[in-house]
Amino acid sequence: MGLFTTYGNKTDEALMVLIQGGDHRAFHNLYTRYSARLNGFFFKMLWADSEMAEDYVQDLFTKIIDRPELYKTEYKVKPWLFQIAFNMCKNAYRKRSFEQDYRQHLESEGIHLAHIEQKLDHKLQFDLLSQALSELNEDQRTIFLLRYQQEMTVEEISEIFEIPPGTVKSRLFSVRQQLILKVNDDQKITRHGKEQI
Amino acid sequence: MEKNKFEELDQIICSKNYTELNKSEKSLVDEVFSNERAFERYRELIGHAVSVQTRPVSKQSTVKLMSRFKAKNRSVVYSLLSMKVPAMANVAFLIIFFAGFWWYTVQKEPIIESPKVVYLPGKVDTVFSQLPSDTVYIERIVKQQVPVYVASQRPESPAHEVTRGSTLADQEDLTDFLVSSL
Repeated sequence: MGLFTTYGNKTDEALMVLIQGGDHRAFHNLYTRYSARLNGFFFKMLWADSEMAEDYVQDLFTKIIDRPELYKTEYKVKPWLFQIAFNMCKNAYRKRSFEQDYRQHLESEGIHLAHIEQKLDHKLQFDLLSQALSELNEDQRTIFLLRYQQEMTVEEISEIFEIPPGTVKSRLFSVRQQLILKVNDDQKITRHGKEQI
Repeated sequence: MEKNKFEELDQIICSKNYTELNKSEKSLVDEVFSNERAFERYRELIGHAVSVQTRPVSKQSTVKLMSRFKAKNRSVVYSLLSMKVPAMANVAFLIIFFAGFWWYTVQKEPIIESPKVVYLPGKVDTVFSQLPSDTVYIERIVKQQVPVYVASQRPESPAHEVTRGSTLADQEDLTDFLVSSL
């Protein structure tokens, strides 16, 4: 592609079109723009596991490399990327749920394989945000992180969830009410938060 | 709390401490949070979320992805140049190429272009016409005039004079000779 093209000024959508044409500089630019943000998102969504988060970022961009035609020009890139990320997280939760069921089954049989989970849980309880997020279901957690961690607009979130902006607002409202109740009532969060500070 | 105050409260939480709030903002916050401490704790939660917005990705991952992208999107020229071909095939290709080139340059006769000027009123242009070099035009006569003789103008035969004065017996001999055709 063009040797003197200024990629920094291009929109995400323009970069995606170039990526579909096989432009590696455009890919590098898009990767630089979003990899760290997606890594932050995956980190908080996937039990604060940094290795897992990075693997998921790599998987996401590998999908873009292998099947760039999945992107349609009418899509906005940012919501599209986070929609893929959200779907990947849902798969991870499903997998985790199966693993937990299996582990419980093994434990009921008298076999203990829980040392890894215990380590993760121990890590989580020192993280104020993770503590709060653990109280939410996966949709609520996603919507909270997209709004407050990724600072996305209601319209962008509505594109990710494919629901009307009004529904997004009401879901955000309910998430916040739940967290406020938690903050008001639960002294544990406050104590752990202090320890962290 | 009503949903229309949602955006307003969101704005307050993200931008101001409890001490910075004015009277109306304070009343809104107090409606939602049990006390100042709960408000600050919630702010801390939001602040924590924003602080972990990004996490740098290792260079190793970046390099892996970039090389994967480049490998998938190699140009046709690069693929052709990097294609592995046996040496014999290369030699055969070169031989065929040079033989073809030689045949093309030697066998083909040069095209002769003859300019022909055509007059157009108000315009002058040059038309180049080309004739195939192997076309031969042969002229031949298919009709020829020959002299015509009129029968009435034919000169009299001298045979009448020859028979004049001969005897009947002579004529009989002649007749026998002609009839017998021997």
